[in-house]
Amino acid sequence: MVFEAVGLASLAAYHVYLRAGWPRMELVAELRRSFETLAAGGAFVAAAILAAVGAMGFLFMRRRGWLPAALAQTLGLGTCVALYADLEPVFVYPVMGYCIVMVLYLNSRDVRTVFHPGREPGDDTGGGA
Amino acid sequence: MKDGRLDPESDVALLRRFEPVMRFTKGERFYPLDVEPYVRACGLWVHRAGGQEEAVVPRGKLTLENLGRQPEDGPGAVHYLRFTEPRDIRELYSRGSGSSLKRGRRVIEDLRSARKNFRVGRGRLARVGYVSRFADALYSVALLARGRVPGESAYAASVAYGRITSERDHYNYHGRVLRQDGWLVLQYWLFYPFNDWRSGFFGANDHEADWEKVMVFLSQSEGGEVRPEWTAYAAHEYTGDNLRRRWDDPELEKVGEHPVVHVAAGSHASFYSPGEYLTELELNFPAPIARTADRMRRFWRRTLRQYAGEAAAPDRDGAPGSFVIPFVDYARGDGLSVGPGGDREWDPPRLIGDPVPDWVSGYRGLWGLYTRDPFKGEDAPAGPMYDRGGGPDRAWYDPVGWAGLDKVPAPTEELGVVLGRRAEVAARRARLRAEIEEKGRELRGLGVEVAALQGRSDVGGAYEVRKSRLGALAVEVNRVREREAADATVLETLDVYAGRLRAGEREPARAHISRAHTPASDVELHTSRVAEVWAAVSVSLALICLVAIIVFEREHLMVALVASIAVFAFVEAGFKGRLTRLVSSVNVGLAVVAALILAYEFFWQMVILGVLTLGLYVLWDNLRELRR
Repeated sequence: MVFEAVGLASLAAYHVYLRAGWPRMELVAELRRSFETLAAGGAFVAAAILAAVGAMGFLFMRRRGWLPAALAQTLGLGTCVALYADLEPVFVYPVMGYCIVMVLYLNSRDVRTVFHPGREPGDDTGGGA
Repeated sequence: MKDGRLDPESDVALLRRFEPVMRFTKGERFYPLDVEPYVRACGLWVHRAGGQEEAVVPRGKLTLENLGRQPEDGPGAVHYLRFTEPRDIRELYSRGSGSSLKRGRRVIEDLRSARKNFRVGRGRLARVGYVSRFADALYSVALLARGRVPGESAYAASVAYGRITSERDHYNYHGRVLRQDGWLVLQYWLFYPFNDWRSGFFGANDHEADWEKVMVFLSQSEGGEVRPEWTAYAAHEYTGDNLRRRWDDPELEKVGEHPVVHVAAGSHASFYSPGEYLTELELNFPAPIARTADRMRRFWRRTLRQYAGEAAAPDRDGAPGSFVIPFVDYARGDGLSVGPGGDREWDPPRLIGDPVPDWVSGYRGLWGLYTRDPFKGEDAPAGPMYDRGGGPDRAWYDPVGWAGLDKVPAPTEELGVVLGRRAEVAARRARLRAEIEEKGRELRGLGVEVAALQGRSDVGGAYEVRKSRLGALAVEVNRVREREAADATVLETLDVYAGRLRAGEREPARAHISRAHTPASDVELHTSRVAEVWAAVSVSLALICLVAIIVFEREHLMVALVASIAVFAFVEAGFKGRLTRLVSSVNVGLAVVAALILAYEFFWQMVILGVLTLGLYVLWDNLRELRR
């Protein structure tokens, strides 16, 4: 009965939402577009920061340098793939190519051995909660 | 046992000398019981192929004597016992007075308080991944559709069990002594009236009746003295080497000459060490998917020389190409203990002697409710001698093979076996040497013939024929030489092994164990509460998210799905401390997608670039060689 009450109340709210037409669809669409633009830009900025942190880690041979470097590739590739699906800007192709090379490099046995020596799969401490 | 034949008195003495000590878990309600009062409390039913159910012998009329003498009932018919009946369950909740009702309610109260004593362990779902959690949810949902033991049966069984034990507690086992392959096998068959693993302890199934077994394997000297060598405890459907422990294995706890068994709550699976065991029901992916995944993995690791550290330790979600549904067996050993030195002693055992009694050999039906569960988990088991389909049970007819001991000679016979084998190999080697001698002579003869005929134009095809035979014979002689050399090595090692046996040396006690079933470690048990909660809600939350995305974000379905999956995966990896592995996997996946996009957009450019790069590399390599 509680579920039924919650369900009916939700239906009523949804009905009012449809009838009132609020918030305006144009506004929602505009906000969404702005959000998408901001999200893509933000992802590239975050990737750049992570890449810089990773580069510092590699420069000073800090073991934690690997994770930010790898996360930078995740963000870079993820954003490029998402942008390709939506807008197909030309700049995504060289970024994709570069990130692929970086992924292969970061996952190569030699690099992993240097940054994660003797690590068991379950021993990962990066970002553990 | 006299002259290899059963002698009831000495067999009972032998059984009692090595009878196990069973340590139960707090919250357990059903203990090993003699079959006689159980059968008396049951009715015998038949389920015919057409689906009709019929009572063959009503409750109260059934005895061990007439249980095994039932007429055949046509193909497809399943005989089964009913320990509880719907009216028992109705009685439990009906209002009224009467001693039986009061007793029933008291038993229910006892059951509830026993379950309150039971403390649920942490991390059943937190120990496995999303796929397994989802499979677990499906398994639970499937229980609603498939045949199962009714929800209140555990209560009703508890009442019926209380009736049986109301005058006096019974703790019994059914003993059998037999000789097989040089071993003297003591079988302790333990009968429990009910398995309440699912309803009582969050396990996989409930069923009426439960047959478990513990075995002790003895060697016997020529003077007739017996010595315990191995034990094997039954746990679910496991068989083979990993099931048994040598008598001197430190994991095997003993009270004097009595092995200690830690019994899992509800399921009654037996374990050597106290603790919580993750029992995994493994489901394999379809073979083509598993093969494709394996090929891709090999390409990644070998061809691209990518990181292979994870290959060394298999994923805890099971072998590649499979996933598992987790259940926990709580075998803490903190409850009642039955056996020598325990809280309760065993009653005199019921001997399953020779001839085998009718209730064992004559009754092929189930020992409890037949639920028609297609996975069989909720159907009661058959007796000691048979499986659920009425076929013979391996633990009965081949206990030595069941425990993986069929390849191990008894210590009193081992040296004889080694020497016998040595003589066989030596004889075979002598035959091979004679063959080498004979064929070597033939080979040399052919060799000179071929040398003589070479270059002559007047011999026709004789040269070619001999040359071909020479090649074939050379290969054959080489093969025989290899076999002879291998036999020489075997003989040498057998000599060394025999020497070690004469010196009284033995293999390490755990050399035969490839994958011991071990209790969860402290680290696994101390999963954080947040991770526990996340594991419990994650599958439902994922499904709700999926629905929300489909309803509200249809325009960006793929992006929203990928983003939500990423969020779930990252949270999970964070809890499990596997962020590095996840980031690697996600990167690899994204790199593959990006590579496919690039190949789609710039295929010919990439081909041209590839060929140019190859050409330049070859040029550079050759020029470098010239400079040296």
